[in-house]
Parts: sequence; structure tokens; C-alpha cells
Amino acid sequence: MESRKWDVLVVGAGHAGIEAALASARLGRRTLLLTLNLDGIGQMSCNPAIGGIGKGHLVREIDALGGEMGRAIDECGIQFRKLNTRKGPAVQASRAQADKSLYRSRMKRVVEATAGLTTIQSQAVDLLIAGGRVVGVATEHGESLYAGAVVLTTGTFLNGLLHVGSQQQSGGRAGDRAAIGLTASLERAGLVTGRLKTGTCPRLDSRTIDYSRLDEQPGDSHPEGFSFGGQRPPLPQVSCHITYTNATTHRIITESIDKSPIYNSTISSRGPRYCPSVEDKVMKFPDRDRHRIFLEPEGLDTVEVYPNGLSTSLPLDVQKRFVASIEGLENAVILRPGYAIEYDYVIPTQLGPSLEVKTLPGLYLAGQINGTTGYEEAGAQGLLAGINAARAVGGEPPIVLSRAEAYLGVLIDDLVTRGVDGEPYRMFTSRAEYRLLLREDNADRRLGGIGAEIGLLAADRREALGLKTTAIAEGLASLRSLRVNPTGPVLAALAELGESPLAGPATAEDLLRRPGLTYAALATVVELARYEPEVERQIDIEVSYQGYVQRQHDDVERMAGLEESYIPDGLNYSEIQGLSMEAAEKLRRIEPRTMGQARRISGITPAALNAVALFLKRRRSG
Amino acid sequence: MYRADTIVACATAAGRGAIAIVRCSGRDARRIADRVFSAKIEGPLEVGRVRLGCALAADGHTPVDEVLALWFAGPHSFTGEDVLELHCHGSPVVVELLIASMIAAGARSAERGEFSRRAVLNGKLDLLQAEAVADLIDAKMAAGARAAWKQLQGALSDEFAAVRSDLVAVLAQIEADVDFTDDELPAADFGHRSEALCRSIARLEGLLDGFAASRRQREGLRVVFTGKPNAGKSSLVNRLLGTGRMIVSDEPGTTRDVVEETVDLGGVALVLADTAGIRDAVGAAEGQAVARARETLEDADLRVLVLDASAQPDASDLGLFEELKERDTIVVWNKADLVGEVPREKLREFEGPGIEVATLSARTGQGCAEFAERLSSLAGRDREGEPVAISRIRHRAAVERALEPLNRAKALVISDRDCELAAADLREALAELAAVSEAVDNEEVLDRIFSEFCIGK
Repeated sequence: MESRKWDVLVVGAGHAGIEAALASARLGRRTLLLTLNLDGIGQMSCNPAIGGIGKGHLVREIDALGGEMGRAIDECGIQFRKLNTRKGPAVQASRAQADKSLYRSRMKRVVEATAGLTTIQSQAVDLLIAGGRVVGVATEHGESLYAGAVVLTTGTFLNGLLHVGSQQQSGGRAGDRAAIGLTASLERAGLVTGRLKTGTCPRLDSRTIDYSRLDEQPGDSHPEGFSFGGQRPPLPQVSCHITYTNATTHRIITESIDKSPIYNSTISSRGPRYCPSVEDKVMKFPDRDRHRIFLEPEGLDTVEVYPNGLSTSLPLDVQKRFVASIEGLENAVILRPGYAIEYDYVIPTQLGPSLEVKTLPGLYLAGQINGTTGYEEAGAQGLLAGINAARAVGGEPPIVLSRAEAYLGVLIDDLVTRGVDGEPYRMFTSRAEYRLLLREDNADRRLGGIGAEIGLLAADRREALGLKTTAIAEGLASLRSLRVNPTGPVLAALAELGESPLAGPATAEDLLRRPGLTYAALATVVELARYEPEVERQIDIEVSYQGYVQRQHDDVERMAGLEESYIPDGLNYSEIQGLSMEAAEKLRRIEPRTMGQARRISGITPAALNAVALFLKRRRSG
Repeated sequence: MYRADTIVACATAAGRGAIAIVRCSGRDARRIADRVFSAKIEGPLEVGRVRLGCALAADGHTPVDEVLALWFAGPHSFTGEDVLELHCHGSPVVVELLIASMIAAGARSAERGEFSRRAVLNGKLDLLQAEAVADLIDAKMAAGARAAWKQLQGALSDEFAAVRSDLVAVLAQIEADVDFTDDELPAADFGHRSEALCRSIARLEGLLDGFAASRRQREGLRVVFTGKPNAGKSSLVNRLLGTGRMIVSDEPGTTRDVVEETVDLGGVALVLADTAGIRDAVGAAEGQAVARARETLEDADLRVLVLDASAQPDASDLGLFEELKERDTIVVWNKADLVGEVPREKLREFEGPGIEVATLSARTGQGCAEFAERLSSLAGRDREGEPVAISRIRHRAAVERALEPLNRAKALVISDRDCELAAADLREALAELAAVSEAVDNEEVLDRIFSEFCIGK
């Protein structure tokens, strides 16, 4: 039997696995990517889109740290839309439709072109454990693959079970077999697992859809893309279309509801509330007379269409009937049925903030195996797991991002501190308490430095970021020092812009604070140095958010005491007087790194925190 | 600092009495009970049962007193921990011996307010209720006690909770708008949002408005007497003290250079503060004293300027009047017995809007009953005041800090702009309001709150 030594071994080549493997290889680690299907690298199992509110933020952060997803979607995107444009910059987000097949082949090409990265098709069936560490995996082909660190990114594959009506079939997604064996191996190693459910839509044949009666939803006329410093998306841009369910659709679904495995209790695990199946929507909101459906093309060269909003696990005949009841879809042919899938995940509070399993050093988990949903959440975790696995092999400390630094920090802190509460975890901007600081538009400035320090951000990107940061600071400083007097020309220029006149002397910054006024417009009123539009946009945002951003920074400062108050590893909580048994048990399980994290554990009372703080204080003082 | 160990203190007032209660709370309460209490009839301490027995001295066998022992098992106790109460005879010596015995058995002396603090940390009371315990104990008058009782029952906590729940509902709608733009949400109801915000703001402003009245309820109407040294302030204050019931204050040394007395006049508390007067303080050339005298006048609910009816008003009197005439003030012409009627022209010099006049003689008592009556009716007007109100500077500051972002949020919601900023404002306001009633894990804040408490509470 052959055995080979790798630095980092990544199991699974989905969105998490790709980021993990690329990061590790790019950091110079000999990396092995193990996949069930070499043709499925970067497969979008569900909708053909990347980004969204909160999710776009994650993609920008992946990009700022030197990950792949942003560049990939920019190259393969066929429709780009900025969401929430009527709201402020902190909650604006990018979303793009992808050409699925191009996305997959592009990811495979990049993976294969990356030095130090090898891809093998096989199934990991067991963890190899030696001396309390995970040292590799055993494959179904009898190979033992040894590595310094193992990253599991199994997606929905662990004991995956597909449901269409009463039909059940083992599989990781339609057309792919499930991963059998790893769950049992994880459980033997002492990990607690659970079961989650998610689902997807039937795919329709675009040639059988009557678009003439439907609203067209074009993309943005000037698509922005995700990657900082990236180019304009190169592919031709296409539209989506919008249709709606109706009373007939709802009646068909209601009448057949007992055939839905979710409703006849065949499936007991919970799906994401935020991404409900159409039967959920109909049953839970009976007073709504229609639900919106986006018809999203799956690519430029395919007739497959993803009817976003029609996720279902009803039997195929019911799917056919309710699809045909929808305007424009009367003759639509279903190319692949929608289905629900149940799969195993690992309770993520068993992980530390580096995404390493606390009780099994050498093992990292990322993506849906941690109970999350979404390509973006998966990619972000994969990147961090890959980085930390690579660093651990090199003896370097892990990278842990704080909640004040990144959505990625919020995501991981939530997972390892609070868990996922029995339903797939999706990112929302409202999960971030410092939302105004964590914007899509400043992800490069927030994280580029860290990306460079880790060694993933290319030199040209680093340099460009440096210039941009300097220009923004310079622009802001000159606005602050520039006095504007209500002279004739100034008043005339303001009037020209439709702005109210200036009552007395002010700084240019004061003027820019007026709602709606931009740096570019202000440049017609007073003489200002001109910068790249990106830089001027950052100046606009900094000035308009100023008071709020300052308050959030103050908040971060206030919490710094707790966030920087570290709890030593292996603290014996049962020694601490005054801690209830439940509190001690919870703390022992979660092993918070800081008092700040301990405070976020559900059910930890101020009394318990005080007891821990006092214990640590006494211990420190002697 | 919260300690997880077991604490002991005398829960009843210091001094001799029929009975005293020594209370012990913490994880070792049971063990300590076994050491210091020996039941007359064999059997364990049980919840809901009073047991008669002997309290033992620190040596573990010498009987100290015959006592009743009450056992409260955590979390169903005042502190949320195991609590032992020994009801002994009200002798300071016995109490001291019992405490010493419990300390020998592993307890330690409780710090100021530590029992209540544990109750808060263990979720038995919120901060507002804990403060109400202190207010109830310190209540000077029935009105204050009633207000404190209501607060202890959770009336004020409920008021804050209602505001917070309204704000959370608005915040949830805004957050849904932010995070679910493409999903089908019911059309945003901005009218409803701004209405809910206006309602919350009005409610908080109502609490602020009630602050002065409710503080008067809690602490009594603050009446400050000022005037030249020979005008007869002290005799007037003494006369009023004579007609009312003196309330002994156990608050440690006042920081003001003024004599403060609290008197019960017709069922309401009056805090009489006799200040030497601003001019005198200036004369003393002591900046701090001037500042303190000014602050005292500023703090007062009512000012009384005492003038000597038998003398001609001088520049000093007029100067004092200048200081006071913008605020609620009663001008008292003392020594009326010496002059009979005060001449019109004299009176006219001390007139103004909001200024009332009284003529009396502190020496003979002439007009004093009427004056006392007037003060008590002024104080009494708060008796039926706001049903629920805030009474502490801490509450007022938090409400004010919450109102600032709330008003910003209101403006944003009404103009349908920058909902993410409105959300940030709402979160800020909610955090401020939460800190009023919830035990945030901030040592300093808790230390300050509980430092007001007596030991044993």
C-alpha cells in the first residue's frame, strides 16, 4: 500500500474546498485536493448566482484576503446587480448570475494550474488518527493519505439523502453519490453530528418558457464586479425574468402537501427558514396571494433555467402541475426535478476560531459541514481553514478575524460560539453589530493588509491598495483643512447644483456632509484634487458616515477590554467557585478564547462571567 | 466585585431590639447552618418550615441564643442562592457572636448591597427593582414608599420593557428591509414605524418629565432657605422642624456646607437646607463654597428668601433676590411681629412672576402654621403624580442618552433615508435602555449602584 506525505489534505472540491486548497498551495504547502468527482470542481449545486446581501460582503472579503471566488465570478458572471442601491453603502451588496459550466471549468483550470496542488478523485472513508491528532484519511481505494493537516469540506455529501416526493435516493446532490463512512469516523473520534435539510428548484427548458408576457430584469448597465482592481466583466450580459405564483399554484400545492416529505414527516431535520421551499411559503403565509419567481439562466450556452423561488420536494407530477399553473411557464418542460436533501453536519461549537476541531488537532472543517448554507459562507470558511491549516503545518499561529474586522469574523465567531441552532446558518448584515464598518466597498482596506501579511495578496494588489489608502487619507485631510467662504462664485456653483446657499464660512468637509452632495459635485464648487472614482466614492462614504462610524469605533474600543481579555487554554472551569454546573459545562465545551466570546455564549449569565473574571484575576495576581 | 463565596450580615437595623435577623447566603450556607444551628427537635432544615433551636458560638458547641432558623434553597431565595436566616434576640452582642460563628464556619462579611447585588446577578431582580429595594428601605414618606413598592413590583421595568419592545419591533422591520430586499416582504409601513418611534420618544420624555416629581417623592421636596445671617433663617427652620416630625437621616456626612434636615409636614417630606447665602459665601472669599451654595439653590425645588421685615432691605438682600427671581421662590418677611404691616414700597422691590410672599414671625409663631401648610401643599401636589416615573440621575442620564439616537432615527425614518443608520441609532438606544434595568457585566456600574445600599441588604 502506497502512502504519501502531504502538508495539507482537503476533502471536497466545492466552494469551500477550492478556497482551502488554493490558499494552502499558494502559501507553499504541498496540497492534495480529494474529490468524489473531478468534473464537479466548483459545481454550483443550487442557484447559478454568487453574492447577495451579506453574502456579497463575504465574497469581497474573500477577495481582499487573496481568495478566488471574487475573480471567478467576475470572469464568469452573465448578469451583475447591485442590491439595496436605495439604501446606504454599508448595506449595498453585489450579486451576479454565473454561467455555471464556465464557472466550473474556470475553477478546475485554476486548481490544475496552481503549483503544489494535486487533485485526486476518490472518496475519503475514514480519518487516520495518531497520537490524538488527525494525520490523514483512508480512501475507498485502500489508500492511506497522510498530511500535516486535513480540511473537511463535505458540503451536503455526508450520508446525503435526496427526496422527491416519497422517492428517496442516496446522493450528495442530484447525479453524485453520497459520502458514506466519514460521519461514523467523526463520531468514533468523539464528535457530535446532526442532520440538516436543504432543497433546490426544478430546472426548466428556456425554449419552452413564454418570456413575452413576463417582466424582464436586466442587470446593471455598468456592472461593477466583485474583485478589487479587477476588470469589467468580460462575458456578454443577459437578463432574468420575473413571474409569480398564483391561487391555482397555491391550491395545487396545498392539495398535495401530504406528499411533501417535509410535511408528511419523512424529513424531520430543519431547513433554512430564510430560503424556504415553495410549499413552506404557501403553507406558512396563506394570506399571500402570490410569490415572486426569478427565472435565472444557468449559462450562456445552455437552455437550463433556474426558477428561483420554486425550491420543492413535492413529487414530480405535482411539480409539473404547479409549474404549468404559473404565467409564462404553462408549457415549460422540467429538465431536472427539484428535490430536498438531508445531510450530516458537525455541531460547529466543537471548533475553535481557527476552524480546527478542538479535540482533534490537525482536523479543520469548513462550509456546510459546519451547518452553514451558501457558496459564499462556504468559500469564506474554506479560505480561512486553508490558511490556518497551512499556517499550522508551518508552525505559525492561526489567523482569527474579529467581529469588528470582517463578516468572516462574525460568521466564524457565531458558528463556534453559538452554533447554528438546528437550521442552516446564512449570513445577514444584521448579524454584524459593527455593520457600518464592515462594508463591501471597504473590504480591501479592512483586510488587504492581513491578506498581504498572510502572503496571499499579490504584490500588484498590495501596491494598488497602498496608493488607494493614501489617496483617501489625503483627500479627507484636504477637505478638513479647506475653508469655503460664501463668495459669489461658490454661491453660484451651489445654486447650479440645486443646493441651498452657504450661510457662513465652512470647511469643504462640512459641505460634503450635505445629503446627496458628492466629492465630484463639490469639485465644481471649490477647487479639489481629483482622484479615481473609487477613491472619491470612499471619501463620500467616509464623510457621510462619519458620526456613526465614529460611534461604532468607540463601541469597538469599549468592548476591547473584554475582547482582549484572554482566557488561558485548558482552564478548569469546575475549579471556579460560584459557577453553576451548567455554566461550567457550557464554558468547558465552547472553550471561549476571550471574555468577550464567553459573554456571547447563550445562557452565560453576568454572574458566571463575574465568577470567571474574578478567578482569572486572582490567578494572575498570584 | 461579585464573589462566589458565602456571605453573612445582620439584616435588621443596628442596635437593640426584640429580634434581629442574621442572614447568610451562598454555596456553603447549608454547611454553615449545620455548624452554627442545632435544632431543638432533631430534623433537617427545610424550605417553608421554621425550626426552633440553638445558635452555637464559633467554638461549635457553646450555645449563644435560642433562635428560629429559616431555610431558603436556591434559586428560590432573595439572592437566588441557598440562604439561611437566623432570627435571634435583638442584642448587638448576640448578633456579633452569631456572625463570628458563621465566619468561623466559612462565611465572610457581606459588603454593602451584596445580597441585592447577588439577586441581580442571579436574575432574581433587575437593577430597577434592586434600586427599588433600597428606595423602599430609605423611603422617608408614605408616597416615596408607594413609588418604591411599585418599582419593586416591576412597574418601571415594565415601562422600559414596553418601550424596548416597540423599538425592537421597528428595528426588526428595518432589518428585514435591509436583508431581504429581493424577497417578498409586505410593503414597508413607514407611517407605522414613525408612529411607533414617536410613541416611544413620548413615553421616554414622559419619564423624564416625571423625574423631578418622582425624585421629590423619593427624597422629599427640597426647600432651601437663604438670606442674611440675621434675617432669622435658622429660627424659621427650627420653627418648622418643631411643627413637623424630624426624620433622622442615616446618610453619612453631607458634602454641602449647609445644614440639611428632613421634616414630615402633613405627610410629605421636606428637605430643609439652610444655606448661608451666596453673598455670604462670596464674602468668605471661598470659591468652592460659592459654587456649592449656588448648586444647592440650583438643585432646590423651592427657594425661600428670608428677609428682616424690621430692617431696611440693603444691596445684599436685593442681590440675593436677583439670583432667585427667575425661579420658584417664596419671599418671607420675618419678624412681622416687630412691624405689623410690611410697607407696600418694600414689598414691591421683591416682586416678580413666580414669586410668592409670606409674612410671619418665627419668634412668635405668627403666620408659621400657614407657611408650613403652604409648603406641604406644594410638596403634596406630587402625591398623585405620574403613575410610573424615574427617580434617579442614573435613569435620567440613560433616558437622555437613548433619546438622542432615537430622535435621529425618527428623522431618518420619517424622511425614508439611510435605514442602516436608523438601525444603528435604534441599536444604540436599545443598548442604553437595556443598561437601565439589566445587569450589564460592567463592574464599575454595579459597584456604583450597590454602594448606595446598606450592608445586609
